[in-house]
Amino acid sequence: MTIPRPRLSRRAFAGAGIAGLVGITGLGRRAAAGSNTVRLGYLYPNLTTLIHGIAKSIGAYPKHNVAVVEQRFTSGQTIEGVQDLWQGNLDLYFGGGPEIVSLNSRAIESGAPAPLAVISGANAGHTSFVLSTKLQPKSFDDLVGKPLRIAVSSPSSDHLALFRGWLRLDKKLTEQQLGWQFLPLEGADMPTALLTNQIDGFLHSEPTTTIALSTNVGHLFMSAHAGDFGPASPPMTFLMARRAFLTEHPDAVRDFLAAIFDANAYYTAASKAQMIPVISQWSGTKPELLDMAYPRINPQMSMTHAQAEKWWNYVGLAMVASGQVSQQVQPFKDVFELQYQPLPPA
Amino acid sequence: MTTRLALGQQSASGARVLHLPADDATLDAATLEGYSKTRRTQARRRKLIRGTIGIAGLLLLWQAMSWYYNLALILPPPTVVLRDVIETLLLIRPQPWLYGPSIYQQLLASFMRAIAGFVLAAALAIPLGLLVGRNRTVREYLEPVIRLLYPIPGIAWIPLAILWFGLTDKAVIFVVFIAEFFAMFFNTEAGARAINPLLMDAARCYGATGFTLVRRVILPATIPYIITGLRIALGGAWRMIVAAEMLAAKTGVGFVLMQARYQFRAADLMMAMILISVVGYGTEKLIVRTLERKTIGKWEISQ
Repeated sequence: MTIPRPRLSRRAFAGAGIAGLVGITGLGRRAAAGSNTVRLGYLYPNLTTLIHGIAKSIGAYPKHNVAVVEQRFTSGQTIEGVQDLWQGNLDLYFGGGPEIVSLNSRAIESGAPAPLAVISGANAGHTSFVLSTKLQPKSFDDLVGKPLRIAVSSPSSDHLALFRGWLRLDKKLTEQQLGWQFLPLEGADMPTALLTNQIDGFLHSEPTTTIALSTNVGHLFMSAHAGDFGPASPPMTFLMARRAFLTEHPDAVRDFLAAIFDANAYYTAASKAQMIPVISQWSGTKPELLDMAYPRINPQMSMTHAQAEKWWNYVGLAMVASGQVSQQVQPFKDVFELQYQPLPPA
Repeated sequence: MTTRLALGQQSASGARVLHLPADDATLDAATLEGYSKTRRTQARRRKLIRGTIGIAGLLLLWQAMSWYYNLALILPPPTVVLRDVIETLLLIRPQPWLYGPSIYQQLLASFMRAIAGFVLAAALAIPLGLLVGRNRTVREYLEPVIRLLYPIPGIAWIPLAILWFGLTDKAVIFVVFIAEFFAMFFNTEAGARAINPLLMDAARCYGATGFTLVRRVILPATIPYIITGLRIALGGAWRMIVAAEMLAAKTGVGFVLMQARYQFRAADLMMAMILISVVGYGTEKLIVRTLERKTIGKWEISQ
């Protein structure tokens, strides 16, 4: 006896396929209809994106009717995040900085409009230049022309970009004159590399700086927070958006930024003792280290026109001068779209 | 009835027929030589035509996709990439070169590292392979160790290499060495074990022992295997060197690739990939084919 095999007729198969497609489309519509759903990519665990952690911890997003769908990227993966944003897998991305200008420049060079925009920035003055304790120069000029190996988190690191801008504008020096090597290395590995004499210093932020200082493998040679890279250092970590998303969902973007500005206000009002447990939980950094690092941490997100202009003059124009970015790129047409922030009128 | 066809001519069925005249009891050597020469020329021409069609097809598909889907940012058309390759090689790029020293210095840096790893691996893997293949005691001691290390992918050694040697050339050379060693070792060992015992016995009967036995019998009999190992290893060396340079070097083609990626310059990425392919192919031709000629040809070994 043969058992007849259950068969799906062509019509039933096609019907099931169409139903599936309709279902998927319907789901998508429902998700979109839920209005303020924002797909956010960000670096984690990383102090640079702390303000998002604070916004979550104080319930700022639900208060502003924003549903955040998160995607995390590890330190040094900024390029992947920017790529994901550009390819439409994210609506907003929080991390990095110079990469967005490079990507927009490539689009403009190929005749297309800039696909991404910077809508705000955080971490003003978070760049530190730590040197090995074996090197004790009296001034920066003592280091010019020395074959130093300086670690950076990636070739497009925002700290490196700031340093290059300062070198070009304030020191009137080129990288060739400097003669240093910039080696890509994970932030977590920098203090160990310094200890084992594999590098002579690094350009990074917290908690890497404090780890190197507290273990006596390095000393703080320059700090943006102290004004060593010029006065009023601009925000270096950007919140970026797809321009298509800005056009389609401007209210979602405004509500998201309103939630972030609530977190800013909370951070300003909170005491160090209140904040350290929150920061520790977000970044996985020990509270004792954070206690030392606290003065150099400023996670607040906000970017004025003047700050954007300063960033462009320091970092953007250095990228243009080196040929990384096309001269066609206009900062306030192709890079910055700051009007979504709840900032008081200038 | 069989239709008479000239040497190498195609029959109606498409098969090539060698028709010998009935009255020709023997074919003179010149005719046979001429026939095989014709066949070789035809095979070469066929290979060339088919290869060209294959490459042209790929380029056409690439151009069409790039144009149709407007993928200039992620898949620049082959014309753009080719122009980039030529301008880079002639050092006449209109856009600035953002990747440190010139492309020739970068290629040279990668080449030197690949060759250093290759020579080190060959110097260790070939004698060890012969020893393990021919000596049971050594084999029983070493084989478990080597088989335990073998499954670890070359790329997994990179963090350890950085820890041991720092961000230096030594780290890259070490990773290349590790990646190349096993292909050479296992091929040499297989060749050494596959030697016909009759050959060994015959050589011993003639009084060959020790180094003479190695030089006259073991090495010539193992050479085809060694060459295969070298060829596989050299291909692997280029794959590994790029991976290692992306993480632990300031120069080299891997470094250029990494830098181009960070600036979203897809044409430069592809330019670097094409140069790796060309240099890898050239290296294989130069080193392995030369070795092949000098050994297999000299000892008249049939592969």
